[in-house]
Amino acid sequence: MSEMFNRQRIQGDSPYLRDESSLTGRAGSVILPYDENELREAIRYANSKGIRVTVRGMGTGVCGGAVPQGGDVLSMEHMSGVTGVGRDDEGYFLRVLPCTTIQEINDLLMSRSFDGLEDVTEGAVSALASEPVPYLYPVDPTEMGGSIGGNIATNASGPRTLRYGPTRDWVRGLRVVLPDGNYIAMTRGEHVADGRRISFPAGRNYYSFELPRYDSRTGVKNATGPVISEGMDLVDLFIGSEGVFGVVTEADIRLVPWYGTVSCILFLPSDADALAVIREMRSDDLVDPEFLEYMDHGSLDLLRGVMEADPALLPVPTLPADAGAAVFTDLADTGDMDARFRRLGEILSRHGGSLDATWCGHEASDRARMRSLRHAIPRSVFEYVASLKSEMPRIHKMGTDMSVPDDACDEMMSFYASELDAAGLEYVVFGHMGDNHPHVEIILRSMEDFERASEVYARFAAKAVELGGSPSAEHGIGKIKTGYIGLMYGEDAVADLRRIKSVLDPNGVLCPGNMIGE
Amino acid sequence: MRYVVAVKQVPDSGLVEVNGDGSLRRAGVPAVLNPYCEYALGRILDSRLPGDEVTVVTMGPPQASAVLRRCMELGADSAYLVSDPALAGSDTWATARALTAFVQRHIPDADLLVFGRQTVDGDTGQVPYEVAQLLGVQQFAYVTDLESSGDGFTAVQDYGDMRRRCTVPRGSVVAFSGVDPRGRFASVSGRLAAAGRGIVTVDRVALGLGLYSVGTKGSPTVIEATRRVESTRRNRKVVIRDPATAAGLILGEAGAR
Repeated sequence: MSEMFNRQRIQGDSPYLRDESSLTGRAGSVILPYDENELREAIRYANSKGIRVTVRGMGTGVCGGAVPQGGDVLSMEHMSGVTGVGRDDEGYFLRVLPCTTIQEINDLLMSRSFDGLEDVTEGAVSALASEPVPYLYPVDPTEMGGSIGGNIATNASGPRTLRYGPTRDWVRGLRVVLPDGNYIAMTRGEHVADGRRISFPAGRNYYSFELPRYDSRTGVKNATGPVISEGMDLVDLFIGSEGVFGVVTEADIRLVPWYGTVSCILFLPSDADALAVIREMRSDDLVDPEFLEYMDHGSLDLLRGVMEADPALLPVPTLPADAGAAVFTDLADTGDMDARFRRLGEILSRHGGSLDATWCGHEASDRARMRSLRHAIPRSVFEYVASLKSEMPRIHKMGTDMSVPDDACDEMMSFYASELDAAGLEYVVFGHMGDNHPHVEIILRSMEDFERASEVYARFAAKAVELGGSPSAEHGIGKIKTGYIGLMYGEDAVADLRRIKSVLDPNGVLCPGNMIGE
Repeated sequence: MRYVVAVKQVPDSGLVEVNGDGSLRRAGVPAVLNPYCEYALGRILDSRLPGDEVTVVTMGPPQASAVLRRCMELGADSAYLVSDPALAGSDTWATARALTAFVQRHIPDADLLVFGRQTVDGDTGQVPYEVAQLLGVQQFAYVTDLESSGDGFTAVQDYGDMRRRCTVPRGSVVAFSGVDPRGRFASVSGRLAAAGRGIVTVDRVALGLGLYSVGTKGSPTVIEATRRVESTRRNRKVVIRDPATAAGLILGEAGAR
């Protein structure tokens, strides 16, 4: 049989075998479809031959979801671009191909030149172009170079989840190619489960199966599998399921009007003060922050070290000498900024801060500089670890990705500190404290550190689950956290998801190893 | 002391692109405070004493008020926008003439006129000294340090091959040489304080300048042509252990150019 799609052999050092995790995979070839027809052809072929295929977007995942474990890689890189604009009762939406990056989507929306886009509903393109303010896709997964398909596959979230929720909340509909090569196009509301049974046609096949018996935790930030519930929408089965049930070939994503924001960094005397400020800001309807990012004393010391070593590396002024922790936040640039800032001042003054000890800017360059400071923390941890490699070849780092409900946040933060201090490990804490979702980066100097940290890490995951949270809040499960669905929902949940997998993908060809293991 | 700091809005150099003919593509590029001006203003704000007053002025279209707003957020006390359609297209000389008229008419008691070394879009670095010439005051270029002393100031100038310390009389023009790539941020309290202050707009008539002494009509500079210059530098790496041989190679290369 001559292959009707583009398939190329790859070598052992191919970038198609890696993502941003530490995993390296193996695969014989990469398939590079240019459109849905080629993709369907490739999947049909793989299914008929029993060749396993691992779907890949931009390769920015950190859990190995795009790393193949044999078979072929199915790279979506040529299926990229925004194709149309539509408008319904809930507002504007954009129709996009799966490998379009979040950056590309928002650059196009900011440019406001929509030539060549299709009107998904009548007059939507010109209506969007003539709106008084630009519209944007509001989910900010931090990695703006990731693909929308990858974001959907992992139900990506990020700092702005505090206000906008995760990717799932912004997906209006999907086109998905199933492992049998058929496709299904669905808008929310078209295929809804009857209790726990969901049924839908795809091509000549008709699928009907029982949903898993658990309900997903949605009260906390959570990227542990698809969001399952009674009466759920079929769209949600494909969001967060990391490609094991089907390949997204097109998505309709919702947009919000964008009024611009003011970025601020608030300096506080101590970690406890910063955490208290975050708690108050989060529940204050007037201040109403877009996101709340935490930088603990260790993070600031790390940044001070970076700036001292090379003053030109970070485009921001010297950090105030008396700052023991900081909060990075964005406020939408509304007409009542003065009142909101005054309220912020009251909050700061209750916790040893003041409006004088702040940085604030609304120009694009100012906001980018503040973001670069925040993003320098994980990068600096990485570089710090790399710089010690020559003395300590085994040095390594380990980062957490766990969220808990609001009322459990203090307990979880104390737990992190007491466990890490007791284990004698070095660490910094930063990240999305608005969602009770810090990243704790543990710096490992030896194999003994690694073993102790691994034990501590497992206790963190169990504690997060015990407190009603998630052990994988935003990075997904991929291949390196496959125990977490069982940890959160029990082993029956894993068995249920595997049963659905065997209905939709009886030959087990699609993204093997992701989310539910093999 | 009363300081007047002249500032300029420039396209955000990180975002600007160059057209095929070498001209800047300014459309759609946000304007920012020129980093050399921000540095000069920052030096004055950092060294100000109680009772000192810092006034900023810029010449430009109405939207240039945004950089004045930023200057006030950073700590300037008051701001003037010299703006008039007739001023459009001014070269450095016409700009200096307008700024000089502004100082003479509106802040004749200024104790120091402060500039950055240059702008990042024009790169001429001429305006401070033209203003000094027109006002008939002393000019101090490449200033790295400044402090008030007695009835005036003391400045350190760095010419690269020479550093000198000199007395700066009141009313002089000073241009700081540096720039801080790390920039500054306003504080929220600075922003709140600035929100209550207005920007005074001054037009050509208020400056007392005739139509033929400003804008393109008052600008002796004529741009005949611009062209795009492609770099032809070829880098290569040579490893030489002996210093004398290395010096010989460099001399030979220099001679060949």
